[in-house]
Amino acid sequence: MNEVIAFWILSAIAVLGALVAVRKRNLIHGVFALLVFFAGLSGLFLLLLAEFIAAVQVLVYIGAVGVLLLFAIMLTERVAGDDGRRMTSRGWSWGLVVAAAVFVLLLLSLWPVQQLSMPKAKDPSEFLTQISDPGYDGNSERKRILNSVRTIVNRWSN
Amino acid sequence: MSTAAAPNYELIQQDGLETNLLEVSMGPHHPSTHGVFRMDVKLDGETVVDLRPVFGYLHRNHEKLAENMSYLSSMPFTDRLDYFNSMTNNWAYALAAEKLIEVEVPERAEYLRVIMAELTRLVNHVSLVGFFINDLGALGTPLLYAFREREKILDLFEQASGARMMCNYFRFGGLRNDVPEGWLERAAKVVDHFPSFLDEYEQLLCENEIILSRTQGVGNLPRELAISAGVTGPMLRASGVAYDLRKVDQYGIYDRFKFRVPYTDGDTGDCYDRFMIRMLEMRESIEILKQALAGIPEGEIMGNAPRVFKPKPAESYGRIEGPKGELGFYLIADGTPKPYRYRVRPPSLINLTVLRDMCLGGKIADAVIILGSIDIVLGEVDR
Amino acid sequence: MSLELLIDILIATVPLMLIFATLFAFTTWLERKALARIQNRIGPNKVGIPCTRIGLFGLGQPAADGIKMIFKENIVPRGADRLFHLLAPILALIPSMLVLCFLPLDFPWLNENSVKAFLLDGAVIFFFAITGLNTLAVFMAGWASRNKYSLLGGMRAVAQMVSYEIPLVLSAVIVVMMVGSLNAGEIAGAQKGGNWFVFSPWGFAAFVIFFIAALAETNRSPFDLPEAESEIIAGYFTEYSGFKFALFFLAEYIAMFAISGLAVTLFLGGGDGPGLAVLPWLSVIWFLAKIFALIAVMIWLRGTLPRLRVDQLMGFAWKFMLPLSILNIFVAGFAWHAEQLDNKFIMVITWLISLAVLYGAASGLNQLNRGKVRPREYKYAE
Repeated sequence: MNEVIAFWILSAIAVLGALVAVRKRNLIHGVFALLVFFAGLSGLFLLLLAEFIAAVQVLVYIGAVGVLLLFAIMLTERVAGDDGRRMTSRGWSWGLVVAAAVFVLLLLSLWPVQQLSMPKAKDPSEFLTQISDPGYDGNSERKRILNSVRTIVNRWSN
Repeated sequence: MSTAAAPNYELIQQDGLETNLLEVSMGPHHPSTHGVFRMDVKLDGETVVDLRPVFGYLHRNHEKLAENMSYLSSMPFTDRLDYFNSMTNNWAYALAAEKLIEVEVPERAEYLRVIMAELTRLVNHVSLVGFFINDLGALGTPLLYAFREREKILDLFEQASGARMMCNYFRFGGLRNDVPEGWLERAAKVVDHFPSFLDEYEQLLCENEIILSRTQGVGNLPRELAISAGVTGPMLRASGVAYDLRKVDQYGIYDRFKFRVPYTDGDTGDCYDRFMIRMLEMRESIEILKQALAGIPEGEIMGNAPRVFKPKPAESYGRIEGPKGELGFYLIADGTPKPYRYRVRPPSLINLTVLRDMCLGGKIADAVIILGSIDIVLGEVDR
Repeated sequence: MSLELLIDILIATVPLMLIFATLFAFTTWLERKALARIQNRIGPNKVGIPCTRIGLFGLGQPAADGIKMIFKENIVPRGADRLFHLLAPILALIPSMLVLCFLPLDFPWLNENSVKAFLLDGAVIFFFAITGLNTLAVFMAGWASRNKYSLLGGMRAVAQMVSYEIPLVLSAVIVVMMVGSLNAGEIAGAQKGGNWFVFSPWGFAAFVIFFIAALAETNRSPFDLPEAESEIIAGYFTEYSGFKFALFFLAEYIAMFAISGLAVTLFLGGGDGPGLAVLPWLSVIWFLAKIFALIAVMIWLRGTLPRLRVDQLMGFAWKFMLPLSILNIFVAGFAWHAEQLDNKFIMVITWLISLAVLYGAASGLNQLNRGKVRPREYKYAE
């Protein structure tokens, strides 16, 4: 149950961050929202027991990419983006179609995986100790994740 | 380390890319502008592209005030010019006025004047070095070491004149009062102790790797520029000109003392040279002080100069080698008890004029220490 | 969420916060007192027990300062980004606090069944990932204040922290290579019995690099450019006052604890020390004592050294620290292989060779980077 709650919270953070990143006119705010999205994503990785990827997500995306973006934006004059220019390009309708198509495809491929998701820990406290326990065999979890990835790939190739 | 001045700096401009400079107004409230001084700095990143010194925040109408009061009444106001060195300010003004009324200064007063002036030089240089290292970022430790020594000398001033900084001790034709009993012994003790402090200070600072790399090659002042800008004092000697009014004019009784004038060969003239010249000058001041304290005679300290006088119409210029450079007072007398014209030649202001040339092309941190190495006091710059 | 889990988590985290917050207060006092002694002053000596004249060497000073900070006016400059101005100190504090959890502190009240949520296998890499977030907070503060000094400070801070993170991580890599684990507990365990990494040429070199980089990461003197008072007022927190400033202050000191704690874990044997067999809880004391030893060195340096210039700072990171730490990785790699042979004679040879290589490389790099800086001779006119 705990993981499900955590999953929903983290997903909400990630989705909200992504939305704000797209919508904000102030570039700096946008970048920080993007970083929130990265952080949420890193939390999701942690939930999947992929702690190394989670750490790298923070290290590379927030620590490096984010700082790079900010550094570039900070030194530009018009940060607020309030010069009345259109923030969308002319081909936005085509973009919308492509985005919708990709989304539908992803949704279709994810459908059967749902039964496999989320490791089921018997006792909530066990879940947390599992992560820290050096003797813990993460293989089964990894297999499960790998399986889900494989299913997606199979789905695509069929 | 290449901080050669780049006066014709060109901003990289590309089509479609608009590049701007960052304009920072450093001051008038800034920790290291040594008072209410302002530098309008244009920065490309951290590099100083343009610099405009702005002063006048501390203008107190000193010269015009002095033209509306008797000669002697201006004496306390000269204390407030360069408030670190009230003794030397007094002396320069006294020299100018003494030329007008042609009064003899007694022997003992001349000796005391030299002692006070050289003690002032120690005070000034020691605090300058402290502030300079503070500007380098050393969080006050060298400054407080320096202030410990400064306090001893200020105590001597207080015993002699009643005030630590605003001494108002000189009079036309002598001094206001004699030093109290035992003062000379106490002064000798302070002077004897000073070299050990200098040894410690030099050992700690002069070969510190960070200080070397921060100051060497920074703020170069070429000899020609220094001369044509009228720079004087330790700054001029750091640029390679052996010019010291104590040797040139031999005012007072400076011809009686044996001392040397440190200077560079003029290749560098950077912040390190200006810092080191002051360190070396302190040693020479100690030599003068030792000779003066040993040779001081008993006797009067005041010549027979009237308190209020009407000098014949004439003009005079009295100048001394102040700790910061040539400090001069120019007086025109018109036969009234007040000077017709009273003008100060402030070394701080004139040394400051080369600030822009020294700072261009350096980093913003360099600008701060270059300003520190010029050694200005805003009371004197703005008057 | 079950209650027991919640309690377990609280037991694991709350004491950590309390202990380090108290130590923070003590450290501010210690720093002021030590700096004062270095500078011929007395330092805080008045504030002790309220309503009495008992001074207690000024130990009440941090409390008084804290109260003052809380009640000071919170000033936000006009035109500043209010939200980010508020968020920046919080964002500075959170990562610093968070990484404390990765330190292998064996508190006596934690038994084997307690939650050790944060003793992850990848603790070391998490540590670096999360301390990297400090950069963002500094940047945020610098940008949101809408002040040119803040902006300059923020720029300096970001450039400096990003540059020094590389030698910092590369010197930690050596220990990770030697132990073969990223787990902080295992790294500390591998150094039990005085077998600290600092007692080997490569370990010592890595420790020195790590410590210097840590100084830069925490903006301590002589790398305190982002808050260089004589140049850019207070850098990125020029426009902060009151409690927000206090939070920055707290974050800075907690970051100092955290990075010193990591240095202790990696190089100074963690909680290793005499008397552990009799009293196992001594390990926490040893750990904290070592942290304080490192912090004392930081204070000492702050009272002693002037500041570098920004180009020299960058040059030092990229031209000196980085090559040396990469070379050190190779040295450590060879040493590891030599260790596998389990031969005393070969080990002695390895030590001598690596000493020579590291010393030669350090002095060579020094010569390359030093330039023409040297003391000068002066002339005298009679």
